[in-house]
Amino acid sequence: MSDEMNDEMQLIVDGKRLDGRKFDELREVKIETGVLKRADGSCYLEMGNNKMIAAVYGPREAFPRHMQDPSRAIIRYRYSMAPFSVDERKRPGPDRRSVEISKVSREAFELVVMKELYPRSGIDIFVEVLQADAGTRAACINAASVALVDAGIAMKGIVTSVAIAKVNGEIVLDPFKEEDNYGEADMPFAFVIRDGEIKSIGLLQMDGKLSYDEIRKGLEMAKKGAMEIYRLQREAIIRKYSLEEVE
Amino acid sequence: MKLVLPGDKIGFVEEFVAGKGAFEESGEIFASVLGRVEIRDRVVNVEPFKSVPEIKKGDVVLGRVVDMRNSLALIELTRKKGVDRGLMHIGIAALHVSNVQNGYLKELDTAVRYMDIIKARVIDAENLKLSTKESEMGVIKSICSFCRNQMVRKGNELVCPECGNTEKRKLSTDYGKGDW
Repeated sequence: MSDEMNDEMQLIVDGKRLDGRKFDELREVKIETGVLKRADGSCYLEMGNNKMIAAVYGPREAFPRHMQDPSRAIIRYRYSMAPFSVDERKRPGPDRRSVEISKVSREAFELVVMKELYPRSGIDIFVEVLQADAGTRAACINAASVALVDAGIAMKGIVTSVAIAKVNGEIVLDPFKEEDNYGEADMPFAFVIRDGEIKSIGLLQMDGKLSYDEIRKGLEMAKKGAMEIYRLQREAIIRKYSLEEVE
Repeated sequence: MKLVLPGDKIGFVEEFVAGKGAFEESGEIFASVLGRVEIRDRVVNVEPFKSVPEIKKGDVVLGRVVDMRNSLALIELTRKKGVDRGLMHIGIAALHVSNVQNGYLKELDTAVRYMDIIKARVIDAENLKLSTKESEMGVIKSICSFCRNQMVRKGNELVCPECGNTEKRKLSTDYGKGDW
């Protein structure tokens, strides 16, 4: 079925994508830190037409009490899409998809957050998708990552996420909505970056089919894209804190 | 000093000892929090821009009376003065009759009551013991024990604006100001 659709949906014209990007080019990323006053750490992120806001609270008392771990903090991650974030109104609240995304994203952060420093407490991460245009889980992870740094929570590195897709037989970086909907496959990655180097993969999912070589190619592309986003994440944080010092 | 983000390399274990806000892995030292590097006596600390408040001796804290014992008021702590961030744990602190005021106090009921909001100084951080002996320490918000309306200060007593009931408390100079 997807092959028929691809014949109809020409996603790559003259070696360029529908939005004019090259195969290994990211969408425009805009990151702003410390946007919410009441949260301990927060971030607003735009990635092309994706818009999301992340808030971090804690470490704070974890409720219900039986969830507390006497030796480390528990991390809660909530990915949620606003009803107006997609073309057709999305029914608000957690659904199968957002519960799954929350789980896998949380596991990516559990790799880096130094939970043992905050025993019996809970760290809450909330990410709200305000406008969706494919690759929202990756963008949400990037936003949450910046918010965690802003909250001053101890971490062993920074998580940066990006997706790849296969459209019209080509591997492309950071797909947008049409490529995601009518493409053959897509694969989000989250990397743990420490001191400017990718140390490990914290999230990897796949929808559709990719060959071994395609995954290899996609991984290299994703790594390059992630390093670019990592640079922007750093810039956003440094911009905020060096401004504060001048004041 | 240098600004670092979590995961930034600061140096090698041969150079320094990893202190606060830094961690060591395979012979190298990395920052774990966002902040500035400070090196003192060969110990690297990262001075964080934002940190989680810790309760130390001498801190001024805010809390609510959640239980009354014979000579003890149990107070749930929520904030530390000067830090606009919640505490990591809702610690249950103790205020003993002997630490309420400078003079002798026979009944604790005449100084603090259930659901009062109290400003106090920490005199023992390990066992979370509080004192309200200073004039600015004490009850800063209180409700009438009969009708639960907020009490209004009149001289050294509290009067309920609804039922006219009067009660005694160890009042803080900040009572009813909404600021502490």
